[in-house]
Amino acid sequence: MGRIGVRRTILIFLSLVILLALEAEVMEVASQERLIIAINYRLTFNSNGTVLVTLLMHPFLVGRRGFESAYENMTVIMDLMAEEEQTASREIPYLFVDDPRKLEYRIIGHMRTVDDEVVLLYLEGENMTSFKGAVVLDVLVNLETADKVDKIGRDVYRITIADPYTRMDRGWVDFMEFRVGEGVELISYSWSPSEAKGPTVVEEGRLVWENFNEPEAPNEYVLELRMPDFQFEAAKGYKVAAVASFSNGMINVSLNNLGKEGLFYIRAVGDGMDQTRAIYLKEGEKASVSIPAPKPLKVEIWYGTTMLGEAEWVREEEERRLLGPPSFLVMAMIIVGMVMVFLSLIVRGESDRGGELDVTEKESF
Amino acid sequence: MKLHLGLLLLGLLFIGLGGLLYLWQEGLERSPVPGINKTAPAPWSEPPGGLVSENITYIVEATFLIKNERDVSLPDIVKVYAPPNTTHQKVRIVSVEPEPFLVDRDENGNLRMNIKVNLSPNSEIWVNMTLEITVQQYEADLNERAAMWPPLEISQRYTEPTIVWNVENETLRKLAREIVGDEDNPLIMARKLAYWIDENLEYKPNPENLTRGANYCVYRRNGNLIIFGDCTQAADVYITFARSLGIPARAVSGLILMEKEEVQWRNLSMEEDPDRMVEHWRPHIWPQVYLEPWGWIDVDMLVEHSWGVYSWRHIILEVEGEFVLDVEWLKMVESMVFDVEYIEYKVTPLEG
Repeated sequence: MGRIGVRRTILIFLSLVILLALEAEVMEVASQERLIIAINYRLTFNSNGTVLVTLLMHPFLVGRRGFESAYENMTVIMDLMAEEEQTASREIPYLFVDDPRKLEYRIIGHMRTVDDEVVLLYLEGENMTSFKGAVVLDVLVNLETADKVDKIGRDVYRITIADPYTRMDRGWVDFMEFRVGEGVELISYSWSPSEAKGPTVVEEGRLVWENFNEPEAPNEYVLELRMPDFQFEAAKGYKVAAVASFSNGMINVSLNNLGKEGLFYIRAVGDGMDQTRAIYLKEGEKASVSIPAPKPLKVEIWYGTTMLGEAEWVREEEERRLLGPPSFLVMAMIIVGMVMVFLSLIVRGESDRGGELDVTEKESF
Repeated sequence: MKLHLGLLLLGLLFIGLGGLLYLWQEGLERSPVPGINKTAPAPWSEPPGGLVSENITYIVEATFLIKNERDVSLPDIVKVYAPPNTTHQKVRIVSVEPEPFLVDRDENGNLRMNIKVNLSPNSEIWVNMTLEITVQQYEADLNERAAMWPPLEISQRYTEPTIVWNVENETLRKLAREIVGDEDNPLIMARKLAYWIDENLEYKPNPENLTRGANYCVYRRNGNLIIFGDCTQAADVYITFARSLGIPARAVSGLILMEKEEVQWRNLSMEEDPDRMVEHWRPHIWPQVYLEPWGWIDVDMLVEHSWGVYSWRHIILEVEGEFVLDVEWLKMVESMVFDVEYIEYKVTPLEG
């Protein structure tokens, strides 16, 4: 009996916080059958930058007699099908992103049983064993929202796909197949760690990895593909206007988010100094951040691992010209002061005239 | 033409005071660090202060009982986890039995010992791992004027939103900003967040039906926001707050000791009342923040009720930083087909 890829097990992570509240102090727990699911993925890359992800699963129960197919166990299949949303939103995305909420995807083929499909997994001997019948889910993924897509040449992209289960410490993908759609060219491929096994099938536009166990399964598959219709731009839609000034030992950066909301990095770098402030900005939001520095340094604006640009420096003379409007209190004080100065002229004048009259009256006596 | 001198002087005085007030207000608006740092800060030339610290070294003997309760022989790769070195804890693997055929790391740098295990029907095996762990217990006596912001790489790795630490949650972002007020010094901000959580945590151990993540444990009560839960929720909210303010933060988990020499164990074949279990099994999770120029500083609001205090009672077994899942924390041992029946950590201080 060999090993198979596992997606979910009953006891994986152990901690106090997962304990169930119990009435009895100590109770014996009956040994349970363990659900283990063989996992096959088929990824088809399209010219426009989308990937059709087809997940094929075949469930097993590991009971007293070892591994037994549970494909005809209605309870198991129904439980599996009920997890469509969870699978689409919390498992498949880890192929492409660290945070599953980032990935744009669309379910295009709901979870269903397909008796004619075959799921491969390693049990024993030198080859994988085929099992007829699969629970299938089709999801279309937008590669623009994937974490590891780099443009490395004209229409050529390096795309890194992770094994969701090795990174979650929940097993591995038993069988990984990459295909290219019309107009897409597979230029090269690699995998990591290098100690993991390479592909067992290498054909034009098709690669297959058969993973017998977790150490042999790559953590990451790296493909270089020519995708002529893929208009990829790193950090697309993210734009922040930044103006920097320096005073009093501080670099002050005024920010204006002109693009999508997100977490941005404001980095002051140079002269052996590298300080970064992360700030979350909503669409259209303005904010300012300060970074202590001995003198003006280069200020970079980043989104993720993409540098959006540098802050524009405002010279101190210009800054002085940009003094803001006075407050109401200041305005009031200055106006009152000016009125007083004006009145000082009028009041003194009238007083002088009054004095002259007095003198005249005195003279008439 | 003659003038009313008194009125003239009073008028000029008003104009002058108005001008001075304007310049003062402009100066305040442009002051780079509101609050305490009105004068020019120069953290790079300040003495950083330090940690009043003392090292203690433990021998930690971890033991796991793995059982095959099936009627057939089965093979498996059992994985046993050990923590990476951190700023205040150094780990040396003394021995692992059976010997692993592969030692690798997960995405957070935790070590994985991969051990091939073949078990005949209804048999069992003990997996043993001995670690030498040196804990630098400390009380932080840091000069807040020396605090600086992190380099780009650290900031990118430890301030990104994750499924558990959702920096995109506007309520949490606003609350964090409200807590620190106009403070702009990362050390003071990190401290204020800790004190707020300590004061506003409605402690409920092992809250049921609570999905892990800062999104799910902040509630409004009598008009104020509070955190509901235990160390997991306190840590997750703290990390989210810190990250939203640009302060790198991560979680570490492990065991809390009551004595310097003790055995903690858990029998997984039995279910036990958590109130009883805590007498012999005390896993714990707490946050760390990264502050230049000191590195990672521990923030244990439940055990230490203080910021930057780290005692011999903590042993880190796992770090969660760059990659985190909305599942339970603290990985110790894992088998896909076998049952893990018993876990034990025997901790003994190393003499001398």
